[in-house]
Amino acid sequence: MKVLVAEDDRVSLKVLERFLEKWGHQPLTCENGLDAWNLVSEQKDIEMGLVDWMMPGLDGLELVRRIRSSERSTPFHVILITAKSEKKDMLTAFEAGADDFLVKPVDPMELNSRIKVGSRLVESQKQLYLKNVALTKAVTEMEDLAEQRARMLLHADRLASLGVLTAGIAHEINNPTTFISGNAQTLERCWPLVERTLKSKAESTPERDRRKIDLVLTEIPKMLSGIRNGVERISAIINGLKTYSRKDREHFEPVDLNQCVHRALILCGNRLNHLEAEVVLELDTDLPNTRGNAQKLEQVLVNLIVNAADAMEELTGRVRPRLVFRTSFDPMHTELTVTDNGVGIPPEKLPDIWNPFFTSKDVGKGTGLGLSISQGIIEDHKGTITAENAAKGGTRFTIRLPKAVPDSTDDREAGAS
Amino acid sequence: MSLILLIVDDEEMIRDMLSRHFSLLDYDVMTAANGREAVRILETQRIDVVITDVMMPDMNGIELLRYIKEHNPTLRPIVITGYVTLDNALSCLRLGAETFIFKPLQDLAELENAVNRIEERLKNWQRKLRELRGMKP
Repeated sequence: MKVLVAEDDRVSLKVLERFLEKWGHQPLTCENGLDAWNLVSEQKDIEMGLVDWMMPGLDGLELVRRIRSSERSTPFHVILITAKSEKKDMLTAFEAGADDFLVKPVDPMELNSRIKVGSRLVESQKQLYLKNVALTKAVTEMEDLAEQRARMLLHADRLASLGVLTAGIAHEINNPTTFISGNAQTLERCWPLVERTLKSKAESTPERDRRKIDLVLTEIPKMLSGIRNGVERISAIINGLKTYSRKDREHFEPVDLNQCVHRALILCGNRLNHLEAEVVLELDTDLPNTRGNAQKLEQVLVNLIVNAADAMEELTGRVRPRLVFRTSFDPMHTELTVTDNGVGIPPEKLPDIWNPFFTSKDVGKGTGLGLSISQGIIEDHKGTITAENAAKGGTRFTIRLPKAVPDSTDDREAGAS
Repeated sequence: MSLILLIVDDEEMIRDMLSRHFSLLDYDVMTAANGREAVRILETQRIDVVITDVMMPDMNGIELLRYIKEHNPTLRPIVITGYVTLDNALSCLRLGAETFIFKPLQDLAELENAVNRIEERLKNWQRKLRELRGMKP
């Protein structure tokens, strides 16, 4: 134990130092109060002090007062040594913050015993201190956890209201879109009749007005196809939003992820063939089933494949497109990675890709809902989906899903409802 | 003899659009804004094809299908809907709907095909009934 010895009498100091060394302690000596104060302030691991009351500069009593009023967090046991033997002096010393009191001349045996008592006190204080630190840390951790949980709940709540809102919006937009779409189609059907009539009328019309009729004849078909195009885009968004807000938990059953990959590839085969992409299947044949809805999981895969195809198409001619599917599992989860060698995602955009309506595709080409919907589907499956840039360029998506529990009552209940 | 269509939708613009479309295709068209109005028409008038929305105030599409199954069992209504749940879809099937078609009706041909199928079916039955009359002593 590091023990401070503050004593202005050199002989006494030397004697105390010897004894302390003999008893296995590490004495730190100084001859006045101020040096002692500096030493104690610097070295927080000094746990005991033998302090002479009468010292030049800062006396022992004042030193103890200073130490007690400082914000020292580690224990420090002070034994005040003095020639004063009056009861009131002892009381003054304890009042100032001394833990123990020894009257000169000091009996070495008594000092040793008192140091041992002090050590025990220091030790128990230290334990208390450590427990306190651990407790404070635990409380902070609990608070952090509670905060995280609150944030998650808030997020879930926002998502839920977003789902309700989007379902409402999808429904409200659907009706007007229906009559825009229907009227445009009827108009397109009527157009040949109008066109014929207008053309025959144009022949008998003076040159000046005829130009206007000609303009109408060329422009109206373009206007109609413009309407049609707009309706198609709105419809795609509405369909996306409808999926976004729907929860089909009731159709959960054991699903073979490898099969999902095969079926999704059949659905997207044309697109990949067109790119002359190399499709690599590293599917684990021992893969256990996961629990979920096969169609929804295929939908996620189709989204990923279409995105990958778009990303790889941008590099056409430079690299041969290559799409790798790999499945694996651990005791609790099944995992599927889809890695392409396309243009990749700029790191600063990675967190945004899950946001609804985020898209890097040209206007009108993507709705920006694919990944957002996919994430929703995977979350419904109590799984996770993450994206990262692959080492050799391109993007890797990783889907982790809970393994199906054989004969899970949950499955049977869900299937029966 | 041209077929008489009944279009049931609470959205006036959709009723107008569909009745215009099928009038131009030479059908006779009637409209109703909800199930209740549709029932009043069905009670007083021959109708060959019903095209109905699902979500409507004052008797919805499913309730209308139930009424039709009971009172006009030869009709095969066509359901057009913006949002269909599995329950709704199964109800439509059980209640004898010809098909259901999602709004926003991106391709009216799907609806026309459904009407044509019903028309074919009715013509087929008319033929059969004529044959039956011919066979009578």
